[in-house]
Amino acid sequence: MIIKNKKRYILFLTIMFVMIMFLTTFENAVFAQERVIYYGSDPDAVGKVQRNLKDWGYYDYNIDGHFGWRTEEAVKSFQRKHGLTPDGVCGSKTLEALGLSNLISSPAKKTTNRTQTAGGTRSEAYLLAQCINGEARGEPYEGQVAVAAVILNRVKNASFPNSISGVIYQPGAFDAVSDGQIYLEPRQSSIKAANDAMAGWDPSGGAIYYYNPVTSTNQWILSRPIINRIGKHVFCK
Amino acid sequence: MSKNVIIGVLVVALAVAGFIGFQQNEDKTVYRTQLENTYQYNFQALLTTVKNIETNMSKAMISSSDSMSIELLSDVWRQSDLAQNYLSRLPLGHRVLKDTETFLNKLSNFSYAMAKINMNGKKLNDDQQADLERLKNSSTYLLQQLNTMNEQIQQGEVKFSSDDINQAREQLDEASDNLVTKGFTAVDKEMVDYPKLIYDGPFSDHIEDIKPKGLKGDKVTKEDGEEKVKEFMGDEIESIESSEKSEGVITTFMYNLNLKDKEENGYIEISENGGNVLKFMKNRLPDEQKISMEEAQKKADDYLKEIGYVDMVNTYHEKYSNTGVFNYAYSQDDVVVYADLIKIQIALDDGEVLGLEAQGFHMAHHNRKIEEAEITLEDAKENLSTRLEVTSERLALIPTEFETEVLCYEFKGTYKNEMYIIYVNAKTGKEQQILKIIEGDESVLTL
Repeated sequence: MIIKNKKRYILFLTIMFVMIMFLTTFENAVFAQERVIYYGSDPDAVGKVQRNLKDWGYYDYNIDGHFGWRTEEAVKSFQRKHGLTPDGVCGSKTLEALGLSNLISSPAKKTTNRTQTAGGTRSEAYLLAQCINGEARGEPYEGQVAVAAVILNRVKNASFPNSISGVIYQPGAFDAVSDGQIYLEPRQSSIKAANDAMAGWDPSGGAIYYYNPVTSTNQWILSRPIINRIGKHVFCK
Repeated sequence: MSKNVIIGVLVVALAVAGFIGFQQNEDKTVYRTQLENTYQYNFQALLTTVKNIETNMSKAMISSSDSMSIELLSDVWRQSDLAQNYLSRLPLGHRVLKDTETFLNKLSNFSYAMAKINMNGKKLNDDQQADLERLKNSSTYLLQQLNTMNEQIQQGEVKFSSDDINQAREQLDEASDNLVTKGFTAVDKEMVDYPKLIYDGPFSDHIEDIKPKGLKGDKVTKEDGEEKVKEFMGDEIESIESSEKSEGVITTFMYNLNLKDKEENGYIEISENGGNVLKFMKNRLPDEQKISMEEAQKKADDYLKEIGYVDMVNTYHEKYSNTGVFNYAYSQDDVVVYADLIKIQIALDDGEVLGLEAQGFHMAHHNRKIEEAEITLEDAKENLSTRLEVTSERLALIPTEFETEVLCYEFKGTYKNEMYIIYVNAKTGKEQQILKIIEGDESVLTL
């Protein structure tokens, strides 16, 4: 009986182990995916390819962002000239030869949105998105933009730190930071809301505070002059 | 027999639990000490910077040479910026610290503005000298308070990280028992007792009371606004779900919209003065890109004309979340007025207009009399660094950080494959501002 159990136990462990191994490698495979530009690809990326091909005399038509047969022919002749396999598809080697290596590692796949949005100048937007995802993900869309706008209004206000990270990580300023919800992966709507706020949309009316009147007991914040209400939040000066 | 086994198992379990408990307690102590150390470091660093600020302010008051003043004031600028940084990392809550933080930000701002006056070869006038002295007195007071707190901390009377996090929070909220909090509340009261500071800087008091230059039209009611919304959105809306008055920087009416044939809803805001559409957004996330930014821009151009804005030039566009955002600035007599800005958001799946932001435009737009440039384009160009390869040039009215506007020649050029925009003051011929374009994949400046 005991031996049988032990056997079962070992079998179970082995299965678990194999599954974990499988899952981790699978995940890696998804993350390492390289971008390939061909028929039906993102028009802006195709446009960049077309522009370079045109500049270098391989392509003589409109830069329309559509990967048609003319673009394919142009890619093929470019590949032949550069000793690449003339398959008419822009893989990493072709993109590199085209001087567009920045396009290679942006896997526009839904599973890895993080890399798509976190890169370069957008890192502050991502932090902002994390914060509003933790603070206001159940709120209407303009309510999420408003919370992001409050953070940006604080950056510009003399009574607060002068950077997005400074405002977000100020001790006790946001519940989502205190309880760690900020580290959840933000939803797409939070990412767009953060970017909208950075682009200048501010439904909060220039607010620097907000609270939920149902849960807030802080007398000081309740005494601030109210600007407006969006969803469950009250925004104030 | 079986009884013994149970006892044995329980004893082992107890020992394991005890061991885990002990380890966790150890961990907790380590973490709390680390946290306390971080807070202590921030406090000590704050103390040091405020000490330096106080000393340099005193020196600046009696300094008679420009170069010395510049050095001292620049140092106050740098140190007060650091000080507010350290201050905001203390776990004392915004309410307790906000006036001290404001003081440090204004001090930083003020000393920068004063250093700039000296840099332009001018002396501070009597008012500015008096402001300097008042701010110096405030920093002396702040330093004294911090010193008192420091004594309490060194004697172990005050700890930033308390045993019980909830208790610590309560202490902060009540702002009574905690000596640190008490000290800071007293500092705060003193800090707001200085008169208004007027200088050219973003935190200057006269900037905070600024009124919109546009939006001069007659007042409208919430009902009038509703009519405007219906007129503006046309067939698109099913119904207006709710509305709300918003009394922020300016007074507006906000309306929540149910959109026809759509699951998503929308939001639109109308100004009370003049009944202008300030902004709207539709709550939709396009899940793929089907049209190019060029096509999207055409849609944005057309839309802008359709809603009645003329003489606008496209200045910048960016792309995120499968949407394109296009910025337009007003152009008057071939001068680009950057303060009057409108943004239009286009969905990159079907080209639908997802958002409009015209509040900036309506706040800033007014009848301007743009003065003639006093220096010629050629003269302005001569002053540019020869290292820059100029690719385009034009006149622009740029907003400064203290809400004024300056007429400049705008030069776009490259140096070592990086793009820069240089603004040369069209009156003085001096470089007003240098911008470096960090061109991501997804944003393009169009000059």
